[in-house]
Amino acid sequence: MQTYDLDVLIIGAGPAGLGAGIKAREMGARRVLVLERDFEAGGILNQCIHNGFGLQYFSEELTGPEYAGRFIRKAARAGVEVQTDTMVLEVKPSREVITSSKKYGLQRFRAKSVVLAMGCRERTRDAIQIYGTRPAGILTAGTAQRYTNIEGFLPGRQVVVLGSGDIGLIMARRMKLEGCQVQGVYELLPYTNGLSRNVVQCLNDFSIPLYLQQTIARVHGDHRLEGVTAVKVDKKGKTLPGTEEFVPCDTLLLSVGLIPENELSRKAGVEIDPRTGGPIVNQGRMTNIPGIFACGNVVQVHDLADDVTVESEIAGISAALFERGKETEQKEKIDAGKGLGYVVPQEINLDKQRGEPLLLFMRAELPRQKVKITINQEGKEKLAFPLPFIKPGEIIKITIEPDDLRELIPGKDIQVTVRGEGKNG
Amino acid sequence: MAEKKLICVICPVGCEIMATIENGELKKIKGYRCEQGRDYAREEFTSPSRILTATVRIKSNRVGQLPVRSTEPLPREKLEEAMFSLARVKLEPPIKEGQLILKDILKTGVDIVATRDLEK
Repeated sequence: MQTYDLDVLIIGAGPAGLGAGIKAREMGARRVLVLERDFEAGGILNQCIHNGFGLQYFSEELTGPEYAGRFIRKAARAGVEVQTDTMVLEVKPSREVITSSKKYGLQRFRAKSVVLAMGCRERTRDAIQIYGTRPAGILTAGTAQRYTNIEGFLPGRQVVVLGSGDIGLIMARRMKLEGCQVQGVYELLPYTNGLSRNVVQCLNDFSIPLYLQQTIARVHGDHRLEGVTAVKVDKKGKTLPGTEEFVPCDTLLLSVGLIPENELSRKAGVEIDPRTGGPIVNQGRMTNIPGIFACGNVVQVHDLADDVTVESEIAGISAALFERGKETEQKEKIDAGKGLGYVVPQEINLDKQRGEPLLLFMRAELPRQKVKITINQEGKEKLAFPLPFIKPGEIIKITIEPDDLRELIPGKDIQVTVRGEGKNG
Repeated sequence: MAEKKLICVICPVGCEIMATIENGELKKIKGYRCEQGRDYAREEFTSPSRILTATVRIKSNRVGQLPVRSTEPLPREKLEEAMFSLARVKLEPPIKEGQLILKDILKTGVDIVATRDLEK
């Protein structure tokens, strides 16, 4: 087995990995290599053929492949190496990475810094336990997206979508445009988890019905899916007997959540935050293992590729500048308080952040209006940020300016809480 | 006089924009946070249009489909008809991002272009 020495080794050539690689090179890292298991770089963007990417980062509207193309070309210009068709088997805490590939065989890489940028995976039928048979025609929305947009196979003709996340909404429109009959999008919650723009452009534009507080209780069919039983649910998500309805379809697309893909991270001993499903990171996106960084959907499931890019640049800079022996410095914890699902980063070194703005990502647990987000220490409000509204489907970003950051006391943990008015009292 | 409401789709913020329409004419709009939002709302209340993104067949041993887009928004009611024009396209690589795939689709003056490079 051949061994290669690198400055920065990045796992995953999606927007996170490419963004981190470009920044690492710009910050002076000499040898930067991105490993990718697919046959080309770009990650999931290659199958996200719809527009809406880049509005925040490039101030223009791009499709997924166009957004990916910019980073693929920029990475090449910046001298970032990309090795495709390569599967990472193991990441060791010593920053040794073992890979397997048809072309290169087994390889061993030793890197000064490793960046985890593996992205996330879709939850499947098994994760939500739908009763019934096991016919063909039940697949995740992302799988259907790959078949339709890259490989050129239409997964079915009559489609039901379960889950109103962005991929579900986008695939409802995509199937409709390809001539399928889309029976409707079913959502367990009383609100959608997708972006407002997707509800408008994907469903309303094509008169595709959205059924809130309804789910799929059972699937029917022996060899091929023949239909599903849709059922209404109460506020707690419990099915209401007597409300069952048979909906004929040959395809059920599941858009029921994403899970950061952290098998490699866990095996390496990276500490995982149960709330995000991703590594606990500091403001530079370093994990609990010195020299191992993480960014993008592996850390938290982002709504926008633009945010993945922002986060990956943070990680790329830190990975390039990482010096060993500095990791014992004092750290403050950042906790998600009432009303918030999580906050990223989960740790910060306040002294180190002096003079730099701090970007916090957080996710609301419930939709709220006239919101105040407060940053607290020792039970006292230190900083407050008013927002007109928050939704669980749309990530909240708060930037604390350097002057405001001075308000926070080094050595004391930080709690972030949210207060606001509910839509239904 | 009629009040109409829409959610702005220019960016993910999703502003709620209200319009007052009198005798089919746009009198007043409010709730937008940027100029693009205002322009979008004006158009959306009068003649809605959308960028069309889709795929066309391509003969390649790596992929079966090539992603494409319209260079400008198409009238919303023409999107499904435009898909029939795209269904007749069949290409071979190499393809360059931005390459013209179909000129003046449905005589709208809008072109369809490739959204990625594809080598042989």
